[in-house]
Amino acid sequence: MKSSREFIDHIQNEYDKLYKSNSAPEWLTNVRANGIAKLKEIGFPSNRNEEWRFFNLSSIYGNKFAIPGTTSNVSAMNSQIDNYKLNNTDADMLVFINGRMSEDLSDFKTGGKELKMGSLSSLSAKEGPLPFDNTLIKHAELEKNAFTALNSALLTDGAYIRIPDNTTLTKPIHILYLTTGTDKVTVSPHNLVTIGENCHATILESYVGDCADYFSNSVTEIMVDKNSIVNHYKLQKESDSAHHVGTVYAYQHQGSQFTSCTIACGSRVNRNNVHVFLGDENTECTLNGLYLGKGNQQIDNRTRIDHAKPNCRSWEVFKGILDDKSSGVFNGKIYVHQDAQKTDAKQTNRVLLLSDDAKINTKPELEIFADDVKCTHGATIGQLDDEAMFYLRSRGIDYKSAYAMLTKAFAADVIDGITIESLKEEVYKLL
Amino acid sequence: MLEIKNLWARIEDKEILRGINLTINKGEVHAIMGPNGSGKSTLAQILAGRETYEVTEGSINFKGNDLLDMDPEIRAGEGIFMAFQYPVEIPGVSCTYFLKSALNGIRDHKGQPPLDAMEFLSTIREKMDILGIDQSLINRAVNEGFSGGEKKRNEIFQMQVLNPDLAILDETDSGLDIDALKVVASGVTQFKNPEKSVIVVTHYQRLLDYITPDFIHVLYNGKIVKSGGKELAHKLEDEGYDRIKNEADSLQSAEESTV
Ligand SMILES: Nc1ncnc2c1ncn2[C@@H]1O[C@H](COP(=O)(O)OP(=O)(O)OP(=O)(O)O)[C@@H](O)[C@H]1O
Ligand SMILES: [Mg+2]
Repeated sequence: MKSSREFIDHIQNEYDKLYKSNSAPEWLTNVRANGIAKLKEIGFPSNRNEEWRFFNLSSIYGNKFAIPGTTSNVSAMNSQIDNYKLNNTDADMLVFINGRMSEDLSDFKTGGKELKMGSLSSLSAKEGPLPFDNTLIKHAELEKNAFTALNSALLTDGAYIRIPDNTTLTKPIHILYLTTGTDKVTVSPHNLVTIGENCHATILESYVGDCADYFSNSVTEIMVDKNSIVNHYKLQKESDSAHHVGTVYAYQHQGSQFTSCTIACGSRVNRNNVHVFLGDENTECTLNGLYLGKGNQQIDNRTRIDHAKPNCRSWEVFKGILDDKSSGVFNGKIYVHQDAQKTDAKQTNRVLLLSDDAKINTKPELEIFADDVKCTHGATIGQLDDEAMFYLRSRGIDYKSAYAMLTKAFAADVIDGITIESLKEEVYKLL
Repeated sequence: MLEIKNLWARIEDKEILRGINLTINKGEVHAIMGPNGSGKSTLAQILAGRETYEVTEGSINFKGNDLLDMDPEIRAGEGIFMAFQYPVEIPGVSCTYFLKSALNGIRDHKGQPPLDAMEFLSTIREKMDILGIDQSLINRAVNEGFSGGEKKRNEIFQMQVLNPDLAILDETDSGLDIDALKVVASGVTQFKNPEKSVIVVTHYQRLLDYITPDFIHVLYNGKIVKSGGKELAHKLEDEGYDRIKNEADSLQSAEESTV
């Protein structure tokens, strides 16, 4: 295995280049400096680390991914971007090319006095309290993660969204990251979403790429204030040989409802971290995921739900469909704090293995420190039902259609929960 | 319509069918009876194209073509329909969607254009009325949570919609109450015409009172050991299978001792 030390040295080089070349605002320089310091303190993990046991770390450490320069002629990419937009869906589009927002390609009109939507990099120190001042990234769990520190160290841009109290967004916000070109690059998007009280919002982040080998290391933070309802979707469709490490962190305040669905089908090596912190009473969270593996793809899902206060509910359903020699990991932790009486938590992981060579490692982890709670978890691993296949075919449905019907049926409960109709259709088409 | 010659089939090391011969002409109704485990469902499944069973010898000719060469969906397209003894539950796939895909799959095989949603609905509406199938039932997932009787009724409903040339009904009468039995029987009676053939696998005389078979065959130990007219069913109902079994067993041991 390529050593993680060499990789840190390489990251330090990239960091230095960034530091010299870029006239970043002070807050950003600080975030980067803190990131690199943290990274050097904790170091990159190895496979001996339980959290990273199954993950192909060496495929990341073995590469000299560089920070991409600014992309020229971005406006010529308009038609390409159209392919990645949702069909017939009016959305506020925030488009990032190689990790940097393109004003030309973006198209967002929703605004208002206190509503902010745009790029992190364009925020100056005087624009109110610095977003990173009370950032969630300081959360202890995130701090332990070297890739989150890496994201800070090499941060160039990301989406910044701030929705004031009592706002109902009528259309979804679509944050699109395209990695493009011929260089072996690394991008470190950081999305910061703050949602006020009594709001209703839907956010989609999607990751696509057209260059062969790159490393995208994203962090998304979503703060949901009291009584707000937020739907969050992440569609990871990076190019086939890409590496994607993504972390979504959401913090919920009292009475809020947060629904998230991560769909992972791209990249060769994918780490999908989702962490929801139910920080106050009467919060609800639905945490869904769908992961689709083909070829040699590797998809490693780690989720964690913290029940910190009483009377909160969480439902988690992750479904995997693994074909060829692909492999998957599902590790779902539910952490019920001492204070969190009357917690109701349900976790399910179901996996469909379509080939004999496909593999899955699934592990629920319940850590419960309160005594009056309801926590259930279950995992099933199965193959496509032979009898059902025969039943369908014996009625005149050809093999391919029958196969698609059954895989779609398998994933249906996760996909049908998606509230953006065009996204739902798009995800069905992935099967 | 159908000609089965010396059909042998097994699963793993277990020989299940041991030389079946059966010819079914257009317009005929054949009943297949026989004790549990004699191979009736195996035969039905093999006709529909189930690959779990290995055919080791013999041939099946359907409307002039080699049936064993065809995938299950091709057989359906060519006009074979088998009502399952145990219809399969398919969560997540709605009856309507399933049936529309099936019908259009068969139409495609026949070179006919697919039916659109409206045409499809009018096609099934009429059949639903005949079989007393409720809209809410077909909005549900295929067979999921259906009662035993609803499952059987749904099989006959599919048969009516898909309109095959040869229908094989594997114990469609089992688990039905008297009324449902009448409904299913009338479904089959309406389906019957001089161009179509039916194979009814059953344990009971009841269904045969409604659908008069032209021939009755008794399957035992993977072989047809007795064939006759409709009166054979009455005789079996009175006497049970003992006599036939004994005759067949002694014949079998006689054959073995001459080998
Ligand atoms: N998939 C299978 N694996 C192993 N044995 C099988 C399988 N399918 C059928 N058999 C065996 O083959 C024999 C015939 O079974 P089959 O289902 O054809 O009987 P049947 O005549 O339809 O019986 P019944 O009247 O009970 O429905 C039985 O002994 C059964 O156990
Ligand atoms: Mg049977």
